[in-house]
Amino acid sequence: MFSPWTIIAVIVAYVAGLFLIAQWAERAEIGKRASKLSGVYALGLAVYCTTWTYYGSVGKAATGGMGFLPVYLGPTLALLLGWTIFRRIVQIKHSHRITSIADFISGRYGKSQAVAAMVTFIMLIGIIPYVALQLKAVTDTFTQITAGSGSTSLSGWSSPIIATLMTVFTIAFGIRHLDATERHPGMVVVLATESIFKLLAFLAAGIFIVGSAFGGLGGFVEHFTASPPNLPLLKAGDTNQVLTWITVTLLSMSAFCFLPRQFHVGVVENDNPDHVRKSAWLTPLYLLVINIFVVPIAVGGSLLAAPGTTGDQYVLAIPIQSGQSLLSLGVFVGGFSAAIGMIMIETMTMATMISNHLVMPALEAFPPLSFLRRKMLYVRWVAAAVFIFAGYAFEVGLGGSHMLVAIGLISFAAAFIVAPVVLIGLYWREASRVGALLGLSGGFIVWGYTLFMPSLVRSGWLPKAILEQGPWGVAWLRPEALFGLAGLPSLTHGVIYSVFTTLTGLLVGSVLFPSGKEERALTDEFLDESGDFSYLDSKNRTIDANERREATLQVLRAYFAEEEAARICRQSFADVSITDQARLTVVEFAELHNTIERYLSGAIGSASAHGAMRSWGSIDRQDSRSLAREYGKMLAKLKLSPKEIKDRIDFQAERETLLNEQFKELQQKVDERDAEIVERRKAEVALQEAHDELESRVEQRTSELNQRNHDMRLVFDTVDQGFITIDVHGGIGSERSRVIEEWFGIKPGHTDRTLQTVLRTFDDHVGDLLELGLEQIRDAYLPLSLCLSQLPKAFEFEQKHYELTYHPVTRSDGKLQHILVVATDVTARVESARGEERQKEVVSLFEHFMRDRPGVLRFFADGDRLVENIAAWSDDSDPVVVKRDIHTLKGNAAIMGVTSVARRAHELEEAAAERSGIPSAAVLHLKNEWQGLRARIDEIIQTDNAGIHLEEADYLEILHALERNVPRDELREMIARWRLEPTRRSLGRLAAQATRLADRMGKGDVNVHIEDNNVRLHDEEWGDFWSILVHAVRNIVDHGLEDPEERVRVAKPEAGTIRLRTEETEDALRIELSDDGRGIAWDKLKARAEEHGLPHQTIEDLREIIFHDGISTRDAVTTISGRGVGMSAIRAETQRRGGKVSVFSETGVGTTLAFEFPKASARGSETAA
Amino acid sequence: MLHRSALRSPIIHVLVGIVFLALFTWPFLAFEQPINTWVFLYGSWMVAIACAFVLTQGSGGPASETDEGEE
Repeated sequence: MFSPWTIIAVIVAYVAGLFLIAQWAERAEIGKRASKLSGVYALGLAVYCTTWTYYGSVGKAATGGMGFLPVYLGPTLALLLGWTIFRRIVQIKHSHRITSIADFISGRYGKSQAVAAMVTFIMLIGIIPYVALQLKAVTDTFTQITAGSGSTSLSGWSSPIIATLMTVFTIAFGIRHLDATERHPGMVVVLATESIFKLLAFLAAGIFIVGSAFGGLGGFVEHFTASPPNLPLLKAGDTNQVLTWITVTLLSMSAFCFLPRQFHVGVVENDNPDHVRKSAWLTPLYLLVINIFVVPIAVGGSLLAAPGTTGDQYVLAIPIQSGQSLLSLGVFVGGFSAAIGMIMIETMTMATMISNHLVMPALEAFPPLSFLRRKMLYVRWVAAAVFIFAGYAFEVGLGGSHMLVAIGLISFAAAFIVAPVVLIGLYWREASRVGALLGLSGGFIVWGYTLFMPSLVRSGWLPKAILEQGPWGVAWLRPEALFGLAGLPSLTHGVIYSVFTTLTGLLVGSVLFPSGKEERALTDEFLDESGDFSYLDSKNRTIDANERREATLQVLRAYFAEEEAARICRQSFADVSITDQARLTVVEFAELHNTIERYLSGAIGSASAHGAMRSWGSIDRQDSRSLAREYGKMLAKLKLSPKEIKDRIDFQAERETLLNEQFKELQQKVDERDAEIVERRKAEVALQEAHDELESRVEQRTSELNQRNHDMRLVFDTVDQGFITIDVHGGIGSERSRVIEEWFGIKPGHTDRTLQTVLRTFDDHVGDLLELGLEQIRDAYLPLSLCLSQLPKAFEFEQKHYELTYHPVTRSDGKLQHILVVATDVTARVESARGEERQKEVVSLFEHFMRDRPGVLRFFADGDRLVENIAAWSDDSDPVVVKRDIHTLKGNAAIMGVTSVARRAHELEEAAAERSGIPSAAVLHLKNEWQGLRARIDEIIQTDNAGIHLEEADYLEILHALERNVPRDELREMIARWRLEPTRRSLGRLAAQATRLADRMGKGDVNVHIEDNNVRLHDEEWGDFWSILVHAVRNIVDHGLEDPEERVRVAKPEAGTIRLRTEETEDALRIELSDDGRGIAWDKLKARAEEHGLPHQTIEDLREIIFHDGISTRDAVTTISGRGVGMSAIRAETQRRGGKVSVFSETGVGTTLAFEFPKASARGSETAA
Repeated sequence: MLHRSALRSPIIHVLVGIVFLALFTWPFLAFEQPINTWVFLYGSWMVAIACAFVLTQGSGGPASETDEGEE
C-alpha cells in the first residue's frame, strides 16, 4: 500500500513530533506541569499495552476466545488489591533513590550486588524475547503495509533498520543523562501521547472492522449470540483453560508491577506517590476501553479477512484489504507507538540495570577496565544497543516459531519470579539476602527449565524428546511435567514450579541464613521510609533518666555548691527538654552529656570538664550501636555519605565562620552607630542647653522690652498727646496710650471698634471723612501721602478741640502696616486763638459800628434772622433756601470781619454740600458762635435799632432849612426822611466789601465808583436785599475781575473798576452793579447747562441759567463763591420784591447786573429832592 | 456507606480483590453462552474499576501519613 521509504519517513516524522513534545515537556513551564499530572502518569502506565495488546490480543481472541483478557484483568486486580502496596514502593523509592526493580530488590536485601545482578540477569533473559516480540510486530506490520507497493529496496533490511531506529530513539529520549534517578518529564509525556494515539488508532480500527462486518456492536452481539465461535474460554468447560486463565491473571498482576518498564514508569518516574491513587482506576479504565473491540475484531476479522490471514494481522490487514490507506497508516503508526513505547522504556531500564549491576561489578572486579567507570553513559548506550539487537537476534532466530502472545507470557513468568521476593521482602524483615538469592536463582532456573526451554524446543533449537521423554530419558524431569505433575497447562505448571521454588528458596535461605546485623540495619533503614526519626520515639528510650540525674549531681557537686549544682542539673535537663521524662533515648543521652560538659567548661575549662565527664558515665556498647544506626539512618535520609556530611559540616563551619565575621563586622558597625548615638545625644544635650540659654535670654529680653514698653507707655501717658495705631480698615490696635482711651472712651484691652466708629460718636462728618480716606488708602490709587493728607485733621467735641496727625508705619518691604494717629488736645490753643479772633472781631465790628452804625445793626438783625432760619431747619425745609441763608450769613460775616461766624457758616456750607441733609452739630456750632458774638457785642454797643443815624449833610440841610424858615410840614418831611437810609451808605458797604475781597484774593487795587443819585430806601424794608447783594459783589471780585497781571496782558488798567449805581425814576427803582472784568464765559455756561440737561440754545436760556440754583462756571468751589447759590438767591429776593434782574455781559469787556423794581413795590423809597 | 478511614483498610482491599478474581473466573464455571461470558466479564470489569475508584477515595494527603501502620 505504501512504499517502505514512505513508512520510514512517517515513522521518523512521528518520532520527531514526539521528540518536540518531549522538549516542550522538559523546557516549557506548562509542559513541566503537565508531566506532573496524575492523568499523564496513569496514561504513562499504559505502556503496559504493547504490540501484544495491539495485535496479539486479537490473535489470541481469534484462537483462544477470552484468553487474552486476563492480561488486562490482572493489572486491574493488582491496582485494586495492592495499590497501597504499590504506593509504598513508590515512597521507598523517594527515600532511597531507587533506579530500577533490581536496585529496589537489592536495596531491600542489604544492598546486595549479587541480588541486583541476579534480578538483572533474570529480567534480561526474560525481557529479550519480549523485545523481540515488539520488533517482530513492527517488522511484520511494516511488511504488511508496504506489501503491494512494488518496492523491494528494503527487503530484508527492515528489521535491522527498525532496530537501529529504536536504539537511536531510546538513547535520544531516555539515556541522555547519567543519573538514572532523574525523572524524564519529556519521556513521560511522550508515553502518555503514545498511549492516546494507540488507543484512538485501535478504536478506529475496531469501529471500522465491526462496522464493516456487523454494521455496529449491536450486529456483533446478534451475530455472537446466534453464531458463537467454537473457541476456548468462552463458556464453562475446560478446567485447564480456567487454570491458565487464573495463571495469566496472576502473571499479569505481577508483570504490571514488576516488569522493568512498568516499575520504571510506575515507580522511578513517579513524581508524587499520591498519583497511584488516581491511576488505580484510570489505568484499568484505559485497558477496558482499548480491549472493548478485541473480540468483535477477532470475530469480524475471521469473517472479513482474506484466507491465510492470522488473527494477529486482522487489525491492520482488514483496513489494508478494504483500501483504507489513511486508516491503515494510522493503525500502523498506532502499533508502532505501542512498540516504541515499550522498547524505549524497557531498553532504557535494562541499560541502567545492566550498567549498574552487571558492568560495574565487572569493572570493579577487573581493574584494567576501571577507566570505563567514567564512561558509564556510553556504557549505557552500548548496553541499550546490545539489548535491542539481542532482541533483534532473538526475533531472527526464534520469532517465527511462536505466536506473539506466547513470548509475552514467558516474559511475564520471568517477572513473576521476583514478585514473591519483593512482596515478602516488604513485609517480612527476616527475609535475608541469601534467601533472596536462593529464591531468585532457583525460581529462574525452574522458569528456564519449565517455560523457556520448552519454547526453545518448540522453536526447533532443542530436540522435542526433552519435552516428551525428559532429558536423558528421565520422565520425571520432563519440563512440562516435572516430578510427575502432569495434566496442568504448561504455563500453569511452569509458574507453579518457579514460584514454589522461589518461595522455598527465599524462606529456607532466610531461615538458614538470616540477615546479619548490618544487613538487618540496612533492611530496617530501607523499610523505614516514613521519614520519622524513630530514634526519638518513646519505644527507643532505654536509658534511666533518674540515674543520669543522680550522676549529674554527683559530678557537679565536686565543683559547685549544693544549690548551684542542683540548679545547673535542672537547667541541663530543661535545655535538652527531658525534665519530665523517666527514660532517655541515646540521642537525648548524648545531648545531655554535651550540655553538662558545656556548663562545666564554663567553670573549670574544657579539658577538665571533659575529664570530669568521664565519671559521669557513657553509653554502653548496645546504645553506641543504636546511636551509630541512627546516625546511619540520618545519613540515609539525607542521601549523604559520611564524607559528604563531613564536607557539609565543614561547609557549615566555614559558613558559620563567615557569618561570625559578618556578625563581627555588623557588631563593629553597631558599635560605631552606638558611638554615633552617644555623640548625637551629647550634641542634643548641648543643643538643649543652648536652647535653654536662648530661651533665658529671650525671656530676659522680653522682660526688658516689657519694662521699656511700660516706661514708654508712662511717657506716652504723661504727654498731652494721644497715640493710637489703626490698620487700613480703621481697626484700633492694642498699641495706644491711656489718654486716648480717656479722650475717645475706649476701654483698655482689645477692642473690635474702628476709629471712624469712635469718631462718629463725636462728629459724624469726621467719622465719614476718615472712612473715605481709609478707603482711598486701601484702594491705593493715590499716593499714600496724598491720602493721608485728606484724612480729617481736627474735630471738636464738648468744647474740646482735638487735632489729628497721621504717620504711616511700614514694614521692611515698604508696605503699610499700621497708621499711627497722634491726637493732640488743642483746646487751649484754639480757645486762645479764638479769643484773639473774637477780640479782632469786636474791634472790627466796633469800627464798622463807628463808621456805619446802621450797617452793623442791619448785620445783626439779618444775622439773627438767618441763624434762626438755619437752626429751624428740618426735613421739611427747602434745602436751597437754607443753603442761601448760610451763604448770605457767611458773606455778611465776612464783610463785617466776623471770621468765626464766617468759618462756621462755611463749614456748615461744606457739610451741607457733601450730604443731603445739614449736620446738626455744625448748625449748633454756628448758632453757638453767633450767640457768643452777639453776647460779646451787646456788652459794648446797643445793637437794637432804637436811634436814628444822622449824617452831617442832613444836619447841615436841616440847619439851612431852618435858616430859610421853610414851612413846618417841609421840615417835618425832611426830618422824616432821616428814617430812610441813603443807598449811598449801602453801596458804600458793598464797595468796602469788594475792596477787602480783592485785597484778600490778590486782585490788587479796585476802583469802586458809587453813584447813588440821592436815593434813599427804607432800611428795614430793603435790608434783606442789600444783604443778598453781597453774593453779587463776591462774584464780581472772584469771577469777574482778572488778576492784575492778566489785566495788563489784555491791555486793561491794572486796577479793576466796579460801578455801583442806584437811580430812581418816576415809575421804577434801578440798581446796577457793573465791572470791567473778563465777562461771563458763555461757552462754559452752555456746557454746564448741557451737563445739567437745561435749555441752552438761546442767549436768554443762558441768562436764565445764570440764576439757576447750583450752576456755576467755576470749576472749583472757594470760600468766596462757586457754589451757584448766590445768583439764585439774588433773583429769588428780587422776584419776591416784584422786581426783575438782568445780566449784560461781554467777554473781555465786563458784566452788568441790573435790577429794576416798580415804584410801587419800592416801598419806603424816597428821593432826596 | 463505608467511612473513608474504613476504605483504607488493607483487609477491604484484599477481600475486594479476591471477590473480583472469583467474579472474573466465574463465567468459565457457569455460563454456556459466549455472549453471556463476554458481557459478564466486561460488566464485572467495569464494576471492579468503579470499586477501585471508591476505594481510592478513602485515602488522601501525604502518602507517609496514609501508610502508617500498614505493616
